[in-house]
This record gives sequence, structure tokens and C-alpha cells, in this order.
Amino acid sequence: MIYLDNAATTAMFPQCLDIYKKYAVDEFFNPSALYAPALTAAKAVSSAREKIAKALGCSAENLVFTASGSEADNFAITCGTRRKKGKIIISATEHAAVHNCAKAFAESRGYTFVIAPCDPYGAVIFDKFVDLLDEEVAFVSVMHVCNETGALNDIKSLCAEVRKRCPDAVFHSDGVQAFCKLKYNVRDLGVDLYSVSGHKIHAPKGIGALYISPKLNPRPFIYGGGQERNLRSGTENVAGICAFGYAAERMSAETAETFARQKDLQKKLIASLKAEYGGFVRINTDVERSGSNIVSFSMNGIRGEVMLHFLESKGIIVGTGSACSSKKAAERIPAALGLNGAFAEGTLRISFGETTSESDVDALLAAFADGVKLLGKYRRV
Amino acid sequence: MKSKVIMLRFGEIFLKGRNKSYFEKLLIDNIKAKLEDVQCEFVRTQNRYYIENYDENLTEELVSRMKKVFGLHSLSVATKVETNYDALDETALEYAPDVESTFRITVNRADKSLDKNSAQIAADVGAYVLARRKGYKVDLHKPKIEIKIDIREKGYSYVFRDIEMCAQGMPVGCSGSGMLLLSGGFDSPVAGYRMARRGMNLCAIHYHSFPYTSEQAKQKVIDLAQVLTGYAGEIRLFIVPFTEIQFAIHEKCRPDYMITIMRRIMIDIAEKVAVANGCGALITGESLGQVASQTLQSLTVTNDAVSALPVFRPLIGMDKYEIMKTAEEIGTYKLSELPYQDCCTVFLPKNPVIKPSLEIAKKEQARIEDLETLVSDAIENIETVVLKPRS
Repeated sequence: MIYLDNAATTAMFPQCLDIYKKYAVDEFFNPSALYAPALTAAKAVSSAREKIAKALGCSAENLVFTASGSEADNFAITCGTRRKKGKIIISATEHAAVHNCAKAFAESRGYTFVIAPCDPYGAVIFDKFVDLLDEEVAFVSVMHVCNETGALNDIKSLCAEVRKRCPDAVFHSDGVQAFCKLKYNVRDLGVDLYSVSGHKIHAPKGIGALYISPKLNPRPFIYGGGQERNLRSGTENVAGICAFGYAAERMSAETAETFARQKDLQKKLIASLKAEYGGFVRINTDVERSGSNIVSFSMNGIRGEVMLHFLESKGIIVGTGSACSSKKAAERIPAALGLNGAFAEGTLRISFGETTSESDVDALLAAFADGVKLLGKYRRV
Repeated sequence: MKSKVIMLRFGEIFLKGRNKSYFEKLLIDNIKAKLEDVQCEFVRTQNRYYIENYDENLTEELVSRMKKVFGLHSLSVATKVETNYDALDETALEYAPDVESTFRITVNRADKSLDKNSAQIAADVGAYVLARRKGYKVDLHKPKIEIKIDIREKGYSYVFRDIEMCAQGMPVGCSGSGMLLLSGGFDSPVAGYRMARRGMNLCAIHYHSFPYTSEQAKQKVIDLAQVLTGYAGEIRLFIVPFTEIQFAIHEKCRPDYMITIMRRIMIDIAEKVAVANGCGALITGESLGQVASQTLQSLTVTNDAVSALPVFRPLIGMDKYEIMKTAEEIGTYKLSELPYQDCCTVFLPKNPVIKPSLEIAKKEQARIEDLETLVSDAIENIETVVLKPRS
């Protein structure tokens, strides 16, 4: 099997499993307890927090662990605002965890919900974004790398504009697809809040984190025993946190190398698709302004899901876009990218992982050619 | 001695004459099958059944199971007590909530050895309750609360209040077997439910078009059939690989007739599989005029592809709203609502014919020269899934 849906989830590093087992079975103690072994668990959590903070370029005390990237997004949106009224702005291709949460929060609290338009590659259009900014803005959420297309948003510049025009606004970025895949530093980006997730970088599912700028004083997201600086109570997921720490350290050490290698694969795949399938395929990923591991394209008249199943029957696993996408998201994203007609249902998302090689891309292209030959006969145009 | 029992009343089979024992045996077998894993006693009397001596924590579960047995009319959770006037008074009072209300006591007395008649007992128990519940008033005609006392022979009585309706219909198994054409939509599971309710055993057939439809879509149909086993008992589900046939239709036939011809082939395969598996009828979820393929003309053209078996279309006169409501009641709605593609929607032409002509349909279908081979290949490669009820 060739697995090319790493933006949906990744296989856990075997070392993460060893660490997980160590802290789930042997050193299973509650880090808040008063006996000595509990201290070992508490120290392990601190050490993992340091590793993740280092990978993000922040200080460990600015990180709060959550149970997922989605939770980190929900935490940021529902607890991060300073202003009690005004506008909440999010970009058009945000993940459902941001879009649905921000919409519901805005509606229930009386904020105005505003969507910043994106270009056909899924990146926020800078000028149009700036046009939306005024003193009324309470909260902004723009994803760092788009999970659908790989589009890279210039968070530093967007954030600087927000600081200039809306002094009270809080800036959040969903960094789930960017973490350990790009070289950056959250302090340098200037954001107030930044979400990351473990299972996208070969750590287990069920662990995420939220960076909270020291300038921000958010409300608690979960009340209880006061863990995580009283902001997110609940006994720490020690095993998940430690495995996450390992994965972050390892992945961030290899970021530059992996990025370069994957960029070559991305370029090759996009160039081949353009050359072979010009009018039939629309490329949704701009190689110059994207992360390195996602290629999205839309086929004219073959449904993405059908091609997905065809490739699956050839042993190649790809995605059609956000795996958690509901029917509504399945309409929202193509619309945001300006995909219409027979292209709208025809999107495939290829996402590379740590071990994806050139031969995997070749195998994908060969199987895709067979798919187009067979399924192309029965296109719905 | 005081214990909870579930009192079961049977419905239509009551009307049966000399065949009653046949229907009753099926009904009892079906009830007992639902109680297989439960420690309890099944008691049969002339006109009622009782589930007794069970763990009272299971009451809700058993009630929900019994509500799925076709042939039962209604049930009540009752208290069984020794027949003495004090016990009747006290038990009746337990059924009278302590809030202002109107009430009556209704007594049915099979044990004629008592020194009071039904009306006297009702009056005495009523007086006992009235004295102990503030704000109670007697209303014999339209009471908010009616407490019923059923005095049986052999020295015991049943006290109960609510009568809950069961699924009614006829015991499954009394009407032979039907082959249900099961898609992933809302209608076909309801059609299967309806025919099971008339006593049919069910088999089901589904058409799978990988890569056009996913493993998830197939699993959804398996799950739907599993829900139906709760009513119909064991179901054999036949999953027919249908992609090659769809390709052939797409290549050879007029686009506007694609759906018509697809449905003719589907029902032809269904009949062949039905006959081979001892089914005496086909069952579809068609509802007149619901979509282009369910107009009178479309149904006529589809029906023409069936050679011998009757086709039951229990939803033919129902509105979509009524169908959805039943789907919700029987527990298939949430599954049917899952957004996976089914084989009917993947090759949807832009303008399917609304009033197909039989002549054109036959002519177009004849363009698929190797249809017979394709059909026999599809049948040969059927995947059979046997689904057993999970009690």
C-alpha cells in the first residue's frame, strides 16, 4: 500500500508507541499526585512541553495541551476574545473546527461573522483581507497552511496589518498542517493563539496543543482540577504528550530537509498532471506559495470519490479533501476555491509523508493514468 | 407476593378461524426467539401472554423488544399480586401519582368465586385511592388516569395502567419470503419493514458499483439490513457487483434511458436470485411519481422485466413525509441519511426519461449484446452476508 493521505493522519512513529507504552503502562501515574513516581510523570510532561515549545519557537509556559487540533481551535475561538462585540473574521477555507465553531460562537454571542475571501489556490487575498479590518474587529482566524490545498498564508504580514488597524483584536492561526513542516517561530509570526496537533506529525491521535501569547489572558476552556495553568483542566494525557514531544523534536530537526525533498515531489506531480491532463485537470495548489506536502487538483467530470476508490483498488490511498468533512464542508470549500460545474465534485488531495518517495509518485501517476482511461469513458460532463 | 410482569395482547391473528393455532405458534416462536438470552418465564393463557419472573431492571429492554414483534397488538407492564382486597388497594395506589387528576378504576373479574362483583371491587378500590390522593376526582367517562385490575382464576390479579401499542401486523414467517431490493435510501428499508409486518421473511439484494460506490456505502446497507433483522429475523443479503453492467449500459444505450434500463436489469437479477433462494415475491420501495423512474410509465417498463413473481410495492401510495416518519420510528432514518453514493445516483443522466416507452427500452437494452453473460457473471460473483438479529 502506498499511503498518500498524510494530511488526514499519519502512521505513528514506532518510537512514539514505545514512549506511549512507557507512560501508559509503566510510569502511568497521575502527574498531580504527591508520591515520588508522580513526579517522574510530571517531569516527562515538562520535558515534552519544552520540546514542542522549542519546535514552535515559544516558551514552554505558553503552551496548553488539548485533546486535538480541533479542541485547540475551539479553545482559541471561544475563550480568546477580548472585545464583547464586533467582528469575527475567518478565512474562506478554514477547517470546519474553526469555521463551524467561529460561526456558532459569533451567532450565539452577537458578533458579526465575516469570511475573508481566498484566491483559487485557497490563500487569503491580502488586499481584500485588509479591506475588512477596522476597529470593530474582535477576533481573526487564518490558517497557516490550508489543509485542502496546501496554500501558505503569510501569517506574519496578515497579523501585522491586524495589529496596525485593530488594536484590540486577537489573532489566531490554525497551524495543524504547518507544524514541523515549515521553519518558523510563533513569536516572530506575531500571533496570539496557534493550534497544533500530534497525529499529523506521527504522534498518536488524541493530543494537540494551543500556543497562548503571554500578552493574552484567556478564559478557562475546561473547568476542573486546575491542570494546564487552570485553563484546560483534566488529568494530563501523559503518554500522548510524551509521544507528541518526541515526534515534534524529531520532525522539527528534519524540517528543512523534508521540505526540500517533498517540494521536489510536489513540483514533479504538479508538472506531470499539467503536462498530461491539461484541460481535464485543474491544479488547486500553487507550488510557489504552499507548504510542501499537499497537492490538490480537480477533475472535470470524474468524481473525486470514484477516482479515490479506483486508486484504492490499485493499492494507493489518497484523499478527497478534509477527511472529517461533512456534506456542508464538501460544498463550502469548492465554492471558496471557485470550483464549479463538473470540477466541483472532482477534487483529489494527495499528501506526502515522511517516507513518500519519487517511486510512490510515479506509481500514483501510472495508476491515475489507468483510472482516467477507464473512468474517463464514463465522465459526467 | 408481588412482581412485575409484561402483559402481551395479540392482534389480527385473533380473527383467524381454524388456522389460528398455526399463526399463534409462529407468534410464540418469534416472541421466544426475542427472549432467548433472558432468564424469564413465558406464560400463555387463552387470550394473552405474560413474561414473568424476569429481572425487573430489564423491563424497558424487554418492552422495546416486544414492540418489534409483529403480530402483537399491545402490551402493558403490570404488577402481579395475590388476589386479596388489601393487596389490590395498595397496588392500585402505586399506580396513582400524587398530583391532581381525574381517575377511574376498571375491574375485569374472571374469578367468580369472590364475594364482590367487579363494580363493587372498583368502587372499594376507588374509595381507598380517593382517600389517599389529594385533588383526585372520579371521572368514569374521560379519566386522565385509568387503573385496571384484571382478576384471574387461581388466586392472582394483574394491576396496570398504560397500554402501549406494539407493531401489530402478522407474525413473521406466515406469509412466505420476499426479496427486498435494498438501496441505501430511506424508502427500501421501510418497504421491507412493511412487508415483514405482513408476515414475510426477508431476503435482500443490493447492487454495488465499486469504485463508484464505496465500502462505506456497502456497510451502510449491511447496517440497514441489520436494523431490519430486529423486526424480520434473519436476513440473507445478496450483494451484486454491478459496475460492469453499468459500464455496458453507459456505452451502448441512450443516455435518457440509462436509468430505465438499469432498473430493468436490476429487477431481472433480483427475480433470478429470488427464485433461486425460495422467495415468492419481490419487494421495492417505489412510491408513485416520487422520481422520474417511479412514474406509472417507468414502473410499467420496469415491471415488464419481471417474468413470474409478484412485485410488492408497499409504499406506492405513501408520501415521502410518511415514509421518512416510519423510517424514524423503525430506526433506519439515521443510517439512510448518511451521505454515501448509491449505485442509482452515480450514472445519473442529465435528463432521464419520465415517460419511457417499453418498445424503446427493449430496443435500447438489446444493444447490450452480451447482457446475458454480464448478468450471469454478476450473479455468480454475488457476495452473501447472513445477518442474524442481535436480540
